[in-house]
Amino acid sequence: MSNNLENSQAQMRRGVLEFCILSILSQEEVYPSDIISRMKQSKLIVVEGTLYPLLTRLKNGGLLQYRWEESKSGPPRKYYSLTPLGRKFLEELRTTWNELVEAVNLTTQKSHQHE
Amino acid sequence: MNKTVNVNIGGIVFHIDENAYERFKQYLESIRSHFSSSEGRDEIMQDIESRIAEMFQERIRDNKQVINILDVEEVTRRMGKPEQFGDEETKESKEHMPKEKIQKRLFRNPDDKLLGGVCSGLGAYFDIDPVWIRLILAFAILYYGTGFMLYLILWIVIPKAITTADKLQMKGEPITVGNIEKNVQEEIGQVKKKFNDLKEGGSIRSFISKFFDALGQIAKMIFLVVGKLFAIFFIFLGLLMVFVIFASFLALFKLPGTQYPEVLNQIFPTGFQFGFALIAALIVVGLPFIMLAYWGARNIFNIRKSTRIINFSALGIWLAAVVVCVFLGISIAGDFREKQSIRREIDLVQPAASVLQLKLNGKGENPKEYDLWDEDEWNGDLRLSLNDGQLQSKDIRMDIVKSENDSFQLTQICYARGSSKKSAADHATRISYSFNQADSILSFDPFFIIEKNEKYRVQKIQLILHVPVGKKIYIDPSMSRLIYDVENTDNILDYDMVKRTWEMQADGLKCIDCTGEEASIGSKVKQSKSFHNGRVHITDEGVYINGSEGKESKSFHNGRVHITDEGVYINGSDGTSLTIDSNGVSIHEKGKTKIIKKGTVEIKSDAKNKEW
Repeated sequence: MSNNLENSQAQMRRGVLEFCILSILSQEEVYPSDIISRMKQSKLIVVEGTLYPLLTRLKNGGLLQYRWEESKSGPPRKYYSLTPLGRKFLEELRTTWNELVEAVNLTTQKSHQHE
Repeated sequence: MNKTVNVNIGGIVFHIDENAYERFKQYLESIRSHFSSSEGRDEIMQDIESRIAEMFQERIRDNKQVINILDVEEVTRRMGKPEQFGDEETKESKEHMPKEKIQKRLFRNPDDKLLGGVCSGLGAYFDIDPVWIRLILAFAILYYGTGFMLYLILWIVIPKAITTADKLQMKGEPITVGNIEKNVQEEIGQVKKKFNDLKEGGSIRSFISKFFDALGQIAKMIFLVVGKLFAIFFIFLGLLMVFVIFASFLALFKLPGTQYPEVLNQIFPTGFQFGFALIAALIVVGLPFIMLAYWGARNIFNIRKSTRIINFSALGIWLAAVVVCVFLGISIAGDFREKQSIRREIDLVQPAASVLQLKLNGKGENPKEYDLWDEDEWNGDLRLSLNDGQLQSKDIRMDIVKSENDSFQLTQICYARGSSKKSAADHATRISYSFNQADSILSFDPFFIIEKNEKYRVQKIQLILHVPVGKKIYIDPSMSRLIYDVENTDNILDYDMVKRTWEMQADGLKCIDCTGEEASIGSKVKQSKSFHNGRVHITDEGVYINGSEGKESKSFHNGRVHITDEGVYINGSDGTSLTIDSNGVSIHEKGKTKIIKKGTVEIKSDAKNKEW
């Protein structure tokens, strides 16, 4: 049971995480540390390590692209941005998300009333 | 004071304390192994290292140039342990790039099954349509039921896929030859990398530790490979033995001409006990091999399900079977504890002819059988056969002694065993043996019959023929199986007493028509074997060496006897010698030499083509 719960939570968080990252990237070109600091505020990410594999996967999936930029205070940074495919993907995710939120709100409210 | 190490992280050089370095290296290694199955591992590692470099840089001040263990701890805390990264990596690799980390596991498939889902599980495992496996198995059943046994074993051994995770694992990456090769190459690659690391290693301490690391890796790999080889060997051995045992048990019952189960059945008091003993014996012998195959299969297929229940229940069943065997053995042995005999004196018709002939009743049996001297014949006690449910035994021995009076007499002693003296005697009375006499011909049955419903209790018959002094008997060759250790004044051995006429004299049996060639006690036992290589013939009649035509000089040598192309040389231990060569035959004895020249003596032989 707890195994199943964990699984569901992980699946949910994973989907939401992708959605959020794509959303952040849709506003501006950012580099990973920016994403981390934003997401840490909203407590979506606990450790930074979570982000890198996710970004690599999205990039390999053709949703993201990046360019190198020299940094004054450290190693060169990767600045990520959305590809056209990524934009389309984000739009679809957003629609789905809105539908989901609505559906969830509706069903959970109803079941609350029943109780 | 702390020694520092220089490291290059994300293109930037850092000074780092040695202990911090070790910790940091471990951390990176743990991440690396976590992503080992991911496609973009190198890129991810690079990104993470860059980020760490940034974080380290933030922590360096003018008055703090060195990264210490606290910095490493803080950075790794922020970056998180690989397990905290979320499980998308493992999920992802399952979908896209499965490698050795996610091994396919063998399960029984409950969603697509005819019996236990073994075949469809195997099909998923080997990526074949289950239909083919079912077909193969169905054909294998035709071979002494091998397929059935195999299916049963697999059914027991392979766990059922219950959860979704199980089912996903069941349908994981196909284990193909290419993949196995890839895995091995990867492992070798890892070892190589370790070796390269070793070459570049810095301090002696880390050199040594790396060296032993690499050694450990190699040893681990060897153990792994050897273990798998053993597992394969175990599976084959186990299945082979199970097959052999199963087939031989089947053969015991099914093949024509074998009566052992029925004969064995005659030992057990009830058929139920016999069946019980048979099953117990089968378990005692077969179960260890089934378990051997099972353990092998577990190792090969990476079945990780707990085996304690199976192991313990197998052990329990096996011990129970052993106990049953021992118990039955003891109870059967009890039935053999006491020995008793029943003696019967039979008056024979005094023959009118001068010679009483002894022979065996043929009863259609191959008379040649009696000509052969088979040493096992009496040693192998279980000379039993079944005829229409009746037990027959050939365990009969005959002795010939001097009669106390002036008439022929036969004593028949029946032996048997039993749980008590009385039951042994009872068994002994339920033996029927017959012989008949037609004036001067005394014909004995070659076997006696144990009454129906009687069990085998080592029933034996001892016959004693009493021959009055002055009377003669002729022993037919067929009797060679029956007579046993008959004393005679010529000390001739039993098997040469046949085909001869004997007269009972005051001091015992005396051979009348013996030729002197008979084997007797103290003489070398002749063997009716023929050694034959074209030139040398050794038969019952003697040794024949044919003269050579070729030029090659061969020598037979055992220290005393030399046979060469020139002749035959025999040296006695006391200096005497016999030489046969082109000069003739010469005998050397006590300093004197006797020579029989060629042509002076003619030795004739009846046998054709045998030249001396």
